[in-house]
Amino acid sequence: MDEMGLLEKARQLAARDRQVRALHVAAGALCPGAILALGLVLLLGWSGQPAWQGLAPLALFPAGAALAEFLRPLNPVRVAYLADRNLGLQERLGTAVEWLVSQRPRNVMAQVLLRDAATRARQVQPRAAFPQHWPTRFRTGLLLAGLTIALAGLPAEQLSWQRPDAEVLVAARGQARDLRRDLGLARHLQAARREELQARLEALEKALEDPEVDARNVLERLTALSEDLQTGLDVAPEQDAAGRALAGRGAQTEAARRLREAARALAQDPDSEEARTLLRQMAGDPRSSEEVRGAAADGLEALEEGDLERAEQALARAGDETLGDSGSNAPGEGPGSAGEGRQALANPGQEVRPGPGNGQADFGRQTTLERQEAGETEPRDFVLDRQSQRTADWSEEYRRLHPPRRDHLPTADARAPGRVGRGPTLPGTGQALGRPRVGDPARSPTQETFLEARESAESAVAREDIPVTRRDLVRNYFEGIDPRL
Amino acid sequence: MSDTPLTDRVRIFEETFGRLRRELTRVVVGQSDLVEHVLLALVAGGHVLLEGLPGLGKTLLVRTLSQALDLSFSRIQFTPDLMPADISGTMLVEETSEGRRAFRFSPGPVFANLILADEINRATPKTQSALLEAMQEGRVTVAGEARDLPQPFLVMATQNPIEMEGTYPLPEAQVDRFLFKLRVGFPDPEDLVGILDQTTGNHLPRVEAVCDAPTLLEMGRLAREVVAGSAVLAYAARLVLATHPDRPEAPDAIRRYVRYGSSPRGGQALVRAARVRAMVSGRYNVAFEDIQAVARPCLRHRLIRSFEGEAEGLEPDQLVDDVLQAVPLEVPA
Repeated sequence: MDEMGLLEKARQLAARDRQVRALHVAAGALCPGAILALGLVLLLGWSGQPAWQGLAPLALFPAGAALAEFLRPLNPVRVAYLADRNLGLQERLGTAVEWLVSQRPRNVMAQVLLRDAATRARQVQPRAAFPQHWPTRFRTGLLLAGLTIALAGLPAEQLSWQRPDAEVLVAARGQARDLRRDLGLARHLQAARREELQARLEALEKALEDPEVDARNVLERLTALSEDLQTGLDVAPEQDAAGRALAGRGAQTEAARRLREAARALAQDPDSEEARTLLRQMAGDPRSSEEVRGAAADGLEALEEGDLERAEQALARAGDETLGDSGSNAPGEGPGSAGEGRQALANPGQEVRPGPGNGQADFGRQTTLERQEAGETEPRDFVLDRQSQRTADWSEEYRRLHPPRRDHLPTADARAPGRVGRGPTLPGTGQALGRPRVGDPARSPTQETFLEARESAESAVAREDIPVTRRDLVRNYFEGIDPRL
Repeated sequence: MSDTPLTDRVRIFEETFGRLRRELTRVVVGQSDLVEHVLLALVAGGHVLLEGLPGLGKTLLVRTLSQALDLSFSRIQFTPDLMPADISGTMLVEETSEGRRAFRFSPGPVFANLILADEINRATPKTQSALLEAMQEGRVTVAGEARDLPQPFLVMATQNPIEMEGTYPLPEAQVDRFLFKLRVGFPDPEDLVGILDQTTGNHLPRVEAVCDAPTLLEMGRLAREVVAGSAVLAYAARLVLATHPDRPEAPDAIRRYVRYGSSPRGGQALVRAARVRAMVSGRYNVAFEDIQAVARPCLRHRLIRSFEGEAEGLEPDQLVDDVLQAVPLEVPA
């Protein structure tokens, strides 16, 4: 090997040294990079942002350190000295390469040295001269990096300091409520499917009460459940029509409730903000009919203008529209008329009496109240829940507005006509005024009972073993015998 | 000899050095390090100060060396009444054949290749200083006339470290002129048995002269050609600088216990001796380990301890070791 060979060997050694040093410094930089990345991941996750974005220092630190090492110029003399030290060559290579590079005057001894160094350099392996070694903190860096990556892989909610928004919780509860209602209305579903969906819904409702459970996750699962329910509706179009009709009636029920609340609030205070809010909700509720929304909007506008009389007329019109949509009164209480609904809404502070009626409501085998009284605790359908809750609310309010002593006052009779039959008794009626006996005159106001009566009728139709294709016929039959018609 | 190929010169160097070592170790039992260092100084052309208790073979070593070398040898026993002229020589009045009187220079014992200055610290400073010019410049001036000393000129001085009464410690300037200060230690039990066996019988080993003056000078020239890289020279310089208490690279022990550090001559001594050692080791370049190997004999007599250092009884070798530990082996950046 000549002198150029010695120099070439020195360059090879320098390249190897640079590689080893680059890996070494990169491994050394992993630890601070991991520490910074860990901090960033925790910070980002804590603030609710994607934690994986904090992993950047994990790669940037080692890469930057290695790049800086690679950019350092090669120094063959230095590397030759280092190789001497690592291989125990007693500065032979370093001195010889230094003599070569610096172009010093070469005496005889220097020439012999160069030859000797060239001979020895031929046997030098760069890997042996510069074995790869790792810094002591490399293991710590690896552990920290693993921990950081694991943390970054966790869901954002696990790292976030923010608890689920109250809005999310409210929305989830609202969706659960809607789902329960829709599930109650979708009676055309098969029993197994219905029970399955109901079980899932109950589990999610229970989960919502647990503060440790992520409300967003529950909301997503509720959405999925809703889609499942919708899928079931889509699969059975002939059943879907009935379900949708029931859902529409539920909306009407809601509109009627708002209407009553608005009328009551308006009667107490002509400037009631509550009445305005309810009318605004009615006007913006897409589930209500066009006429109801229009009447609510008119009423709201009249209230804004301070025209109380026009507002009451609008409310009455909305009540008529609502009654018209619902189409019937409660079974057992007899049908009412649109005028009765108008009167009830227009005079919420006055006593109303049921009109004469003789309708029968006997197409249910067993009412939900009776099942409750029988001690059954299994979850009931939507009708039971809504009836019991709303009736209790209304009864209390009704007793406040219409104490029993007023029954004897000579006021217009707005009660539903008819007499109590042998059919199911509405829970609201029983709770408000005591359970009526068969043959007694109807005592419940029409506006209180007609929606429940309709739903009770629907529930009765759904409970019966009536083929789906024949249910409309049965429903039409009973509607056809409505005394109002 | 300079015209012969380098390999032959190196071979002759190694052979001669090896023979000298063998001849010395035949007579001087044990003390292999001492013999090695004496020979290094011999080839490097440096003077040696041997320090040790009486009876440890200091004089024997130098006398044996003189026998192994085919060189002129003088032994000067230093005493308090020794005068400078007793060393350098004097002018004598002589009557010529014509009956006239003339001065004739009578050379002193210093006119020899190898000088044994035995118990040098017993002479007065005036007499001791008579050796200064001879040791540094290789010549003496008598009666205004400078006279060159024969080459090679080597002074091997001995001194007793414990007998302080009636002695005159060597001044720093003179101590600095010694390449090495070697400690002659007590022999090991095995070596002591060998000494007893060898020196109490009738058969004393005969020493053969294996090296003459030209050969020794050629060996010195060859050693001075040994290549010293910049990193090695820088290391030697850092070692010397680190012996100074006011330097930032000085270790704590130097700052505390040393008043003055080594002179640049100490650095020269390091590199000169290291070159010879590299040659003896079969290398053509000086290594860091060569510098480290000769650091103690080169620097120990060049560290002037402070009062605190002397009061603590701190050995100079300990300080040199601290310096060696404190100065890192650095390669060019």
